[in-house]
Amino acid sequence: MTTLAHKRLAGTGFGLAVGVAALFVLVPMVALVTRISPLTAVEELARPESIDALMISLGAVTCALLLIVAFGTPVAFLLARGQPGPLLSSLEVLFDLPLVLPPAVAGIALLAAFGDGGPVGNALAPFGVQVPFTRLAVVLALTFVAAPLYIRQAQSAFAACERDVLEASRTTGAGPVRRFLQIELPLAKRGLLGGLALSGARALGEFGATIMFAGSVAGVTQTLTLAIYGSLYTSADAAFALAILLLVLTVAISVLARLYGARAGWEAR
Amino acid sequence: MTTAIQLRLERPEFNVEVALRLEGAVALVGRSGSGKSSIIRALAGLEPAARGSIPRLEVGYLGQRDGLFPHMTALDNVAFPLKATGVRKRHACASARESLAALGLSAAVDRRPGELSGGQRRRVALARALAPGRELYLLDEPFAGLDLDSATLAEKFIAERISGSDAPCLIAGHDVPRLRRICSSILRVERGRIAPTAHAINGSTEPLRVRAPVRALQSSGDMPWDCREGSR
Repeated sequence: MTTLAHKRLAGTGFGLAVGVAALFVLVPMVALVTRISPLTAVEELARPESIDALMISLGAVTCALLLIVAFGTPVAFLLARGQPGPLLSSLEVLFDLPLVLPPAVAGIALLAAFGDGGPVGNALAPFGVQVPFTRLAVVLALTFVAAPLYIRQAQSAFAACERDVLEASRTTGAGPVRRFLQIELPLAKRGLLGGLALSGARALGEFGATIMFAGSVAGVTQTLTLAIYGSLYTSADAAFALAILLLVLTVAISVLARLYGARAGWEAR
Repeated sequence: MTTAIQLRLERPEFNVEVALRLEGAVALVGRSGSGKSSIIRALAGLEPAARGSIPRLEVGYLGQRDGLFPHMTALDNVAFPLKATGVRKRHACASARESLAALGLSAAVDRRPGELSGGQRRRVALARALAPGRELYLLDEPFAGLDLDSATLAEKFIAERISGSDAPCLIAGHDVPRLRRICSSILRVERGRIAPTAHAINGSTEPLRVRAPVRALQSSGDMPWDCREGSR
């Protein structure tokens, strides 16, 4: 076979693979959106149960992202700048763990810690605080599962800061706080926002850990994904409407993240 | 102001061992890789492995690479060390504007490093390093990559800043004629040490430092660790 024919064949093969892959992603989305009429979707979403689920999801995701930024940013910074060694590697593995852990395992592990008889559960019991199957449990489940995505992105964003720039900043007389706020944070901003968007999308779609640790009580802990599952066999239209809503939210997050990232980047002025 | 320095830094090929008293402007010359940058970086606090008596001073440092803050304008880059040490924003910006103008960069104040040429970036970095009010200035090859006119501007700027301050200044470089005009003494670095004489620089056998206010202590005898390295 000639090289040209080879190349053509390879080109066709590649094109075919990409085409199939694109269809595989696209067809289910289109099928979902066209499954029910827009009117039905609006009607279903206007029902109080749907609005409850949306509010619970948005509230929990917002709280989870606040926790993730507050605790994840220092973690990512440490992982990026710390002295390389066994300690740092262990920390890296530790903070990556929830990413590979099956969500159901994460949920039941949280239950084991915060539930009756668990170390945290026991410590909180005298104060009358009960975490499992509350909204706080939803927030904790989302945080646990979604944080690694932010930490990873933030870590590589901090690590991407050039050595010369860091060295120059250390010789300006600026203290660590000023250096962090005025140099390292702005330079990593794009990566941080990207990580936040990924984390938010992951939290919005969380299912397994939440249902284990927080249950699926309508109006209390039932998030959008749990409501989809909950109504699939009782009112399929509601399930489709909620799924469409979730799809739109997720697409919006990723588009916004891209647009903002591209515009806010100092390199693309 | 006089600053005494002793430093030792282990490196794969040879160790850097220097003892010198800094006063006024001192030039370091010598081949690439002879240890000039290591000395400057150690004094800037950028070599954690460096040992000896290295005073912790507020430095103005120009590295071999510019290290400009890519998200800030030239003006903000130059004003940053001033603001960081408590100078009011308005004064810091006025001072930065003045420095940039002196280096022929008036038109570039509001541009970011990505929009500047290599020579312009070098001059912005020089202006940032020579922020007024520092206790020690460390310039690593300030003329590298500059065209003749820019280098002359840079030379004048460095000379003015140094004479207007009593902080010592250490400049590594290769452009001996320029360095001789700026500096009161020229030291030659060879394999991590200050060479005993500077004859290779001015082409005569007369050591330059004899008429210089700076005294380079001979390595031998002055430094406790000499026994280990002395036989080389």
